[in-house]
Amino acid sequence: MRFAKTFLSVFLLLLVSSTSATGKFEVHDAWVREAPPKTNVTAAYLTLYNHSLRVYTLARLSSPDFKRVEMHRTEQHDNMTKMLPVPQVILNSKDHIVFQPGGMHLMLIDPKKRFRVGDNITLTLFFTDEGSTENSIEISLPVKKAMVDNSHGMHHNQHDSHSHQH
Amino acid sequence: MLADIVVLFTHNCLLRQSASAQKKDAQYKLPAVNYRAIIHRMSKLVKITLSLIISILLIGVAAYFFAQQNTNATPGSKARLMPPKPLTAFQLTAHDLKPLNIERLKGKWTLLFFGYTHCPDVCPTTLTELAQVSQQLPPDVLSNTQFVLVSVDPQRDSPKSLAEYVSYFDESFLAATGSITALTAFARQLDSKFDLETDPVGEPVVNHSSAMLLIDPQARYYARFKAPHYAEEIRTQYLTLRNRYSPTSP
Repeated sequence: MRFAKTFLSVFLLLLVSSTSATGKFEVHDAWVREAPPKTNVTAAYLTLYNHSLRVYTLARLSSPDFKRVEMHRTEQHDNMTKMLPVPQVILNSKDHIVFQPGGMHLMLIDPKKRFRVGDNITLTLFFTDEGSTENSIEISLPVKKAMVDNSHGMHHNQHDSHSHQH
Repeated sequence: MLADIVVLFTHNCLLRQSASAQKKDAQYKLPAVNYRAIIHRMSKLVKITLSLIISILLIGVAAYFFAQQNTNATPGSKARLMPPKPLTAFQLTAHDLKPLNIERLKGKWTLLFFGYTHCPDVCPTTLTELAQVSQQLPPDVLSNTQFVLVSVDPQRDSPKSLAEYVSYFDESFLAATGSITALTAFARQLDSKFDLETDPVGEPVVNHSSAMLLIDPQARYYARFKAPHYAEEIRTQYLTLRNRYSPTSP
């Protein structure tokens, strides 16, 4: 009986840790800010969950809809606003990271066309684990007009964003 | 109140003198000072005075901290410049190709901030918040309020492109830019600054002051609001400052 218990826990542990890329990551509240006219940049926001028992590094992003995708962080202190490049983000096991207005964001540079509200943008996130194996997920983000929410700092559009993973 | 304090202070001094006198006496008789005995020997008046002093001190400290908290809670109280700083002549080009100068600031309240259009995150966020402010202001206030984005990236932001950019957020918004020299001098008048760098890929990087500046209808730099900017806070602070405003007093 005791053995059965041990076996079951070891088995479950193995099962969880050996799950394929699907299910390891989950994306919530993903959206892309509709770019105002006369600018070639905009930002994407999302919350990224790591459900796995491994630590992943997010260091590369790409999109068929933009020439470049970079991670940046808006920093506001001493009355200066700076946008600092973020070369990589560590995503701990059972943890999540938030990309949101005024904080860390995905900067989308040089769109293939002007994306408007109602369009969707495809984004691929590349992760490496401790063993340097690369995993990727592809997500689809709706283009939205930013809206002001009266609760501070919560500008993301909830409930209606979606994602799918490969 | 002041008289009370003087009286109490005098009492305190007398009390100290009598206490030290007693102390001296005690030193002749006993090696250790018996404070309990001293307190016991104090007159009722002295005891009351001492209690009063301690109470007043305690209340004073409490009142000080309360006042501090209150200052933080009052919108606009920290943002206001004392006294307002009259702006000196400057000339930028507005989105409508007309000059943005002192004359254009006179007669209206101006909420102004520095930014640039190739800014993916914070500038559109601030403009979205300002659009919200504009929508929520009472009509009589809105009619003499103008919102201005000053682009510190004149190489990429022409007045014409700025016009399209700001009107995306609100048709009434103004934008302006100018030479680096003109922009630097104007920013300095508003305790603001910016710098232009180039990232490793060769893309320009623009760093700029994040505060929102309020200019009164006499073209005086009147208040500054710290980032991050939220519509609700800007609106409340602005309305509070306006309500207390008197054009004649500083």
